[in-house]
Amino acid sequence: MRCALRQSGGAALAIAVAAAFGAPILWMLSTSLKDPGTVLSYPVRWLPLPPTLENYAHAFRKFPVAVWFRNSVAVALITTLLAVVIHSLGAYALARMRFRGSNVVFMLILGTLLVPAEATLVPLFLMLSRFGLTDTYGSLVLPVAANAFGLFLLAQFFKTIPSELEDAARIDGCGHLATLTRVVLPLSKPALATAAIFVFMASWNNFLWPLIVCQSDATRTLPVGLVVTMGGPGATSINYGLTMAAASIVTLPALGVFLALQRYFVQGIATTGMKS
Amino acid sequence: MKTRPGENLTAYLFLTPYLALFALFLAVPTLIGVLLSFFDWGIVGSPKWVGLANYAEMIADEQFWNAAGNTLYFVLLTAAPMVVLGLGLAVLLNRRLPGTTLARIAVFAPYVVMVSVVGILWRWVYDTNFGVLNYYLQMIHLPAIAWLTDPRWAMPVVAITSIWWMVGVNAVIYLAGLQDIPAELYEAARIDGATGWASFRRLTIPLLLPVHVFVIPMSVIVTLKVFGQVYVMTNGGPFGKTITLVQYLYIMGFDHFRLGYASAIACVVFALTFALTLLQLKALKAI
Repeated sequence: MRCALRQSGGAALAIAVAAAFGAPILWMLSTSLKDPGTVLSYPVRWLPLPPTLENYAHAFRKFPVAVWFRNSVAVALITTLLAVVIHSLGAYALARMRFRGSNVVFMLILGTLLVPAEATLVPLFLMLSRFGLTDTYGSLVLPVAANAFGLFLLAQFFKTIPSELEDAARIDGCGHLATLTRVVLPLSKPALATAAIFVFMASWNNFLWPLIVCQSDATRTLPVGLVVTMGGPGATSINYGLTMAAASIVTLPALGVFLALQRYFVQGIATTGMKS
Repeated sequence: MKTRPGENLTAYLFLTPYLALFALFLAVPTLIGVLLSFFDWGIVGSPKWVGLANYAEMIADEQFWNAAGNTLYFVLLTAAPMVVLGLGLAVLLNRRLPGTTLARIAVFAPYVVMVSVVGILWRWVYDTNFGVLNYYLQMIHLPAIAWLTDPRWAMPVVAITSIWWMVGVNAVIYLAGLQDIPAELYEAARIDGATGWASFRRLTIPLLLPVHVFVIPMSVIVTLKVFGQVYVMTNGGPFGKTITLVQYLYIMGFDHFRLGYASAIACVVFALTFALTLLQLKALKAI
């Protein structure tokens, strides 16, 4: 009897927690679907009646939201692809090949995991503007791909693959590259997926660096674009219907992907916590 | 396995793409950053060597100490609840009850939201005149507060937003840790008479030490570097009460274009992060 009460108490708590965490996102959606004239009004209504897409249309008309979206997606995809390829190659060398200087290289790269991105902001900006390379996709892709996190994740995982499999491949005449692509990578799907998700999220969510380096809408990414729709951080009167619509445009795809793949997201984060 | 002939070359060939990226976009900028902190340089003209002058200026710079104090206040307000609440949520989510799957998704979902969306959304929630929070407060006859423009409340509410945003990550990591604890241990504890809170304190928390060693320093590091949501919600206001170190770095480097000084600030932030992390690891490993 007591157990049943505790059970239902726990379930009620779980639902309350879900509501508390989900409510702000629902509020964002609700505001975005309201008639612009009714956004700023008390009493607060959760259901937009009647719902209207006016704010969304306005957002697309007034701001190059589609361009920002394209930029964010393109940059994130390119970064992820580049990172996975380059990190796989490097991780394989670190994990499986014995070569002179391997310890030095390992320590060097490990050391940079401690350096925060903030320490490289000013110098990177200087270097890139010297060569006129700010405001390009490259300036957004390359610094993120350089982060060693994925490299170590993959290296750790590659080490867990039994070397007999690779020896067998070698006996069959495979060189290192073939061993990597035919044997190691197919067995590393979870680690590759985790690394890919991390790089993608890091690129997608990147805010301060694009704020510094994107000077035109041609390269501006969504997080920065959103601040533009608001009128900048110092704005005094903000059109919340419009900004909530822009925010929803930006959030719904990510949320959709998350809901579809949430098992992998959660697993990925959980295992990195443990592996460290 | 002995090094095979040509293995050195192959290894470096495999590593070259990454090492090139690493050198150009991590190693070299880091070194330049440290070097730059000893110079005075606006974006035009040439850099001028000033030795430790930037650091001396920082020691006397009231705004720097303001930013440092704000940042540490934020870390306290955010990192500690992030860890404790993360663990608490994990315990709740670990029970196979109806609703926990939904709760797990809901708790983690905020992390999928972009930092500037988080900022704008909560700016709307905290809005003084039409925000939903003040609406409900007034409904229960509490006074409406100008959350983001009141010097006493600005940082705490930014902290609450940040906890909402990031606690899910800690919860999920702790959840994995909890699930790794064999049920037999709890059985044994129950036979010995320890249940509920006692078994949590004496069994669960110590067994989670490897997870604490990861979650606690990570939470501190992440909150030390805070920028995005504060920038969007308060822009450092009111009256500089929420300016953080990274925002101060940004202002000095990209508003005032004092690149040398900004680099010095960056070095200090780095050193601070490093020192705090070492301290925490020492403290945690000593337990």
